[in-house]
Order: sequence, then structure tokens, then C-alpha cells
Amino acid sequence: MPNRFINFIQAHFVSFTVLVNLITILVVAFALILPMRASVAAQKVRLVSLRQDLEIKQQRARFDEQNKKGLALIAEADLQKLDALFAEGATSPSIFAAVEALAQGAHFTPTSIDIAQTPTGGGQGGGNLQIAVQLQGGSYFELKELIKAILLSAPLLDASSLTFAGENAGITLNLKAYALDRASAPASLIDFALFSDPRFNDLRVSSAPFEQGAVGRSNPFSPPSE
Amino acid sequence: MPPKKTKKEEVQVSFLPEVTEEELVSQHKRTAIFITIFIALASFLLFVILALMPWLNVKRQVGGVNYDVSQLDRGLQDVPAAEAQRIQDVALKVSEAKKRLEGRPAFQNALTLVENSAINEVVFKTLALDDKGSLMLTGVAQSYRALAKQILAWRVQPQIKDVRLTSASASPGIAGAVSGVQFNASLTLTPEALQWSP
Repeated sequence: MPNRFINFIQAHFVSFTVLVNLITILVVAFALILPMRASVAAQKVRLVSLRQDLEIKQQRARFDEQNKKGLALIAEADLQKLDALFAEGATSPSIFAAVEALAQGAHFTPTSIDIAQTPTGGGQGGGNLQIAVQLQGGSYFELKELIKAILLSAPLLDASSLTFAGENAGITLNLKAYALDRASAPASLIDFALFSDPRFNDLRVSSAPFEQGAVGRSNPFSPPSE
Repeated sequence: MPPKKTKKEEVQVSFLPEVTEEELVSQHKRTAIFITIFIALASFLLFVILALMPWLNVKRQVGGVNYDVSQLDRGLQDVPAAEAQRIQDVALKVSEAKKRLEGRPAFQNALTLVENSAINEVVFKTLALDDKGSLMLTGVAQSYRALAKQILAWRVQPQIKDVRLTSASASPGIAGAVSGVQFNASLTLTPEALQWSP
């Protein structure tokens, strides 16, 4: 048997070599090269993703460095004003406080303040706040004063409609306030030109920061004691 | 007498073991098989190397980028998380503030427009305004003529795009005379009319 096999191989030596090589090519191609190619493709995808990740992180590191240097030159009052520009969610206390302060500053009495949130889809408190305000009293001149104060207020309030029912008859105002959408915020370079923009510099923080008094009462339904 | 010749016998002597022809053929066959197997193995090895090279190359690159990312992560961790968060928070607020400060509606512009175009014989009673530039006014004019003068005064204002009188009715006074004309007017302001510029 071995002799017959050896004789056979000897007789067809060239054919045998070609056959063995062809089989090797096929085996290597299917068993090694194809999976290897898939692995190489997967690694290349990973490489692209890692490079993008690296680029984002490098950019963020550059931005952080430049922003840090720039922020050191900005006045603390401007940063506080910037913080006051945006509402923090639908129940933002700063909005209630600001609307009341603005109304009282122009000699109006707020009779109702309704706030509704219209999310933009980003979540985490992003979106606009629709504020419906009913105010009592006030003359035309006080209305003008109020409109101007609203425009220059921090938090940012944009009037979307106004109804003035006549001298001292009250007004209805619909305002828009803005909440930040932190979820979709990419890393960015701060545009410090804002701090020298007259539209920003004219803004005034509408209400003083809250002073937290004593908290806790034995009967929360009783009138407050003197 | 001729010399006596002696016959020399040549004998081949080999110290190697005697190899038969059959054994020699068998040896050649084995060599052929070894060569065949060697070529096959060499081909196999060559293909393995060819397949491994690009894979190793990409693997090396991935390793390099991974190293860079980890180095950068380490660098980023040097900036305290709270500070980095504060910086990004300010960046976001500045970007939003710039966006929101563009093209804000300034309602006082409309009020100024109403003041500047008001004539003496007309008193306004109510005003409704929205950020699209729609301005509704109700009021009382001393006469229809006075109302017409008011409409003309509005029409010459470049910030007023359109003026429509939706109703006008005279209030009877003493002895049938007209004591005043109550009217509703709808004005459309140009988009620039409400834009705020400090």
C-alpha cells in the first residue's frame, strides 16, 4: 500500500504539487484570510472610532485650556448674570421671583403666573417655558416701564404677546423663558465677545438671590407667627 | 624464454553498505515527497504571513491610538471635574445667550410707534400686540374725519406694513350730533419694527 501510494505520487509529482498548493491556497483563504480580513475590517472601524474619540478629547482639552484662561478675565458679576439668564426647569423659582419683582417694580400687582414647559427633545430641562401673566393696575407709562424692564431682565424673558386693557385696567402678558439643554451640548470654545456685547451688558438681574430663612413649622396650616 | 605472465584480478572494494537499485529508487521517491511537503508547508506559511501582516499592522495602530487616548484621559483628569464642568456650563450658557439675544422682540418699539403716529383727535383705549408684528388698537376718534387722519398717519410710517379698520361706529351725542367714533384697527408691523437694538 505505501509503495503503491509512493509510486503514484512519483508518477504524478508535478500534478500532486500543484494540487497540494491549490488545496493550501483554498484552505488558507477560507480558514485564515477571510476571517482575518473580517477581523482587520473590524479593527479598522475601531481605529476610526478611537481616532474620532481622540480628536474630540484633544479638542475638549484645548477648549478647556483656552476657556480657563479666558474665564479668569471675566468679572464675577458678569458670570452671575450669565447664570441668571436661564431657567432651571419648569418650576424654576427664579422665574416666579423675577416676574413678581418686575411687575412690582413697575407698580403692577401680579394676579396669576402660569408656567408651562415645551420640551425641545433634548431632555434634562431643555426647552422653552411659556409664562402667562395677569397683572392688575398700572398706567400706560408704567406699562412702558414694565416692557422695558422685561426686555432687560435676567432671566431672559421674551414677550410673545401683550394685551393692555386701558389705564389701570390691567394687562395680560405671555412671556417666553429659556432652559438649557445640557444633554446635547458639545464641548465648545467660549465666545467671550458676549461679555462686551451691549445687549448683554444692558441686562439686569431681576430679583435678588434668595435668603433662606428658618425652615420647619409645627403647624404649616396656621398663619405665620410674627 | 619469455617471462611468465601473471593474471591480475581487479576487485572493487567499497566500505559503504551495498545499495540495491530498488533501494535507490525508494530514496528518490522519499526525497520527492519531502520536497512536495516542504513546498506545501512553505506556501502555507507564506499565506499565513500574508494574512497576518495587515491584521498586525491595524492591531499596532489600534494599540497606538488606545495609548494616546489613555494618555489624554490621564491629562484630562488633571483638570478637576467640577472645574471642567463649570467651564463647559459657561460655554453652553454663552452660546445659548448669544443665540437668544439675536432678534429679540422689543415691544416698546411698537408703543413708541403708536405714540409717534397718534393724532390729537384720537384716544386709544386698548392695545393688543404679539411678536409676529400684529398690533390691534381700539379707541375713539372725535369724528370720521379724525379717524381718516389717523389712518393716514399710520400709513406714512415705514414700520407699518398694513392698516385695516375692522370696525368704526359713531356714538350719538346731544341733538343727534356725533360725539365720537369708536373703532377697531388692525395694524401689521414690519419684522424690523420689533427688533431690539440697544
